[in-house]
Amino acid sequence: MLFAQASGIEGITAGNGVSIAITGMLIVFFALTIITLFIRLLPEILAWMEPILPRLESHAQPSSAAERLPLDNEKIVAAIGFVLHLEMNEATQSK
Amino acid sequence: MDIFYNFLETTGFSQMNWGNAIMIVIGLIFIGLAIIKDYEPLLLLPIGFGVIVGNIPTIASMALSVYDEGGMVLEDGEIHYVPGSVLSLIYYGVSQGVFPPLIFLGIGAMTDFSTMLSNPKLVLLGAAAQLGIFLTLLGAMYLGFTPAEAGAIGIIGGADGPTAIFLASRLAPHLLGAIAIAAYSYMALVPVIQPPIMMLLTTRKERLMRMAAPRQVSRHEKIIFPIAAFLICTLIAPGSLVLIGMLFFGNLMKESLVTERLAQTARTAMIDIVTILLGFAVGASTQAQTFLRTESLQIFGLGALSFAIATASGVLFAKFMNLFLKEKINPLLGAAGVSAVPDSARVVQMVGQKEDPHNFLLMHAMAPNVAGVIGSAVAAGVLWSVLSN
Repeated sequence: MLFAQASGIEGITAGNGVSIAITGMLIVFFALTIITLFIRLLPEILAWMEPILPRLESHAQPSSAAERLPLDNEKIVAAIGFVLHLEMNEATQSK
Repeated sequence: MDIFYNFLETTGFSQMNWGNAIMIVIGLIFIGLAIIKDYEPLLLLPIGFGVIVGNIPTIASMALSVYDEGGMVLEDGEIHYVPGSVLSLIYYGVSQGVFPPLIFLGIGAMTDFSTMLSNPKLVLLGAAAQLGIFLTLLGAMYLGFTPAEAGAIGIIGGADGPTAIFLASRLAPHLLGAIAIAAYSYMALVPVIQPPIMMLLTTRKERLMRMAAPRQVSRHEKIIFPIAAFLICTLIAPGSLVLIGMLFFGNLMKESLVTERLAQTARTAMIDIVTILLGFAVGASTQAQTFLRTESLQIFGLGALSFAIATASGVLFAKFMNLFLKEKINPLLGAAGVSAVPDSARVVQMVGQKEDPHNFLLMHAMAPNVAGVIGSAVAAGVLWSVLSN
C-alpha cells in the first residue's frame, strides 16, 4: 500500500491536485478544440487545394500492387491447375 | 504413504483460503454475467476465467502464477537463470503496456470518423466527458492515494479499459489489477450506470430532439484526418504518442483503402487475440493476496464516481453548448463522450428511442464516442507526463 502521507484537503494541496486537474482538463479541451477547428476548416482547405490534389475515388479502390500479389499468384496457380487437368484428361482419353 | 501425504499438502484444497474462494466466486459471477446477461462477454468471460485461474493456490517452488517472473539468481557464487511461469510471459504484455496500443490499432482500423468529420462541434462533448477523470483524481488524492496512483485511478472515468491499463502500468503497477477490473466492469455496466443519470439531467423535450442528417464526407478528408489529428494530439501531449499513434495508424490503414488486408487483420484476428490475452492476464493477476484490500474497494468506489461524473459532465456540457448554438444538440449525445465504444453510443440510442422510437441517435452518438477515445488518450498522456516526474 503506497498511500501518501497526507489525506483529505491536505492530500490534494500537497500533491498539487487542483493545478493538475485544471491543467489536464484545459489541455484536453485545447487539443480537441484544435481538432474541431481543423475539421471545420478542412473542407475549405481541400476546396482551395483541389487543383493540386490527386483525384481519389469515393468508393473502394482496387487494392495496391502489394496487396494484389497473392491474388495474382492464386490466379496463376488456378491457371496451371486447369492446364494440368486438361492435359491429364487428354492423356487418359488417348490411352 | 508419506509421498501421498506430501502430495495432499500441495493440492489446491489444502492451501485454499477464504480470499481465494471469494475471488473464484467473483470469477464465476463475471462468467455468469457474460453468458446469462450478455454483459460485455468478450471482456468478462476471459477476465472471469482468468480470475479463477489466478486464484488457484500454487506451490511456492513451482513457477505458475503471473507474478513468477524469470530472472538471474545468484546461488553458491554462480549466476543461474530461473525460468518464469508461462502466465508471467502473457502478463508481460499487460505489465509493460504492450497490449493496450495493439488494441488501439484494432479500434482505429474499425472506427469510422465520418460522423465526427461531418459535425465537428460534437468533438467537444468528448472533451467535456473527461472531467470525470480529473475530478476523480482529486477524490483519490483526498482519500490519501499518491498523485501517481490518483492519476491511474482517475482514468477509469475515461471508460476506456486499454487506456486505464496502459496508464496504470506506467504510474501505479501495484494497482493495475484493481484498476483494470474496475475499468472493464464499469464498461460492462454502461447500460446500467448511464441511463438514470441521463434521465435525471434531461427533460423529455430535450430527449425528443432530432439531429440533422450528417453530410457526405470526402475520401480526402478521411485520409487527411488521422494524420492531422495525430500531429495535433501528440504535439500538444507527447505522452499520448503510443495510444494515439496506434489509433490513427489503424484508421489510416482503413481509410487509405490500399492496405485493406492489414486493416482487416487489425480489426478482426489481431484485436481478438490481444483481447483474449489481455482479459485473461488481467483476470489472472487478481490474486486474493494482492486484490482483496481496502484500496481495491476504494478504487471501485472512485471508478463508479468517475464514470457517473463523466456521463453527467457530457450531458451538461451539451446543454451548455445549446445556449449558444442555432442548430441544437440532443443532450443525450453528451453521455456518449465517455469512450466506451460503442456501448455508450448504443445507450444514447436506447434512451432516445424510449421517448421516440423513430429518433435514430446512434450514428450521431458515435461522434462524441470516438472523440472520447481521443480525449481519454490525450488525458492519459497528460497525466503520464505530469505525474511520472
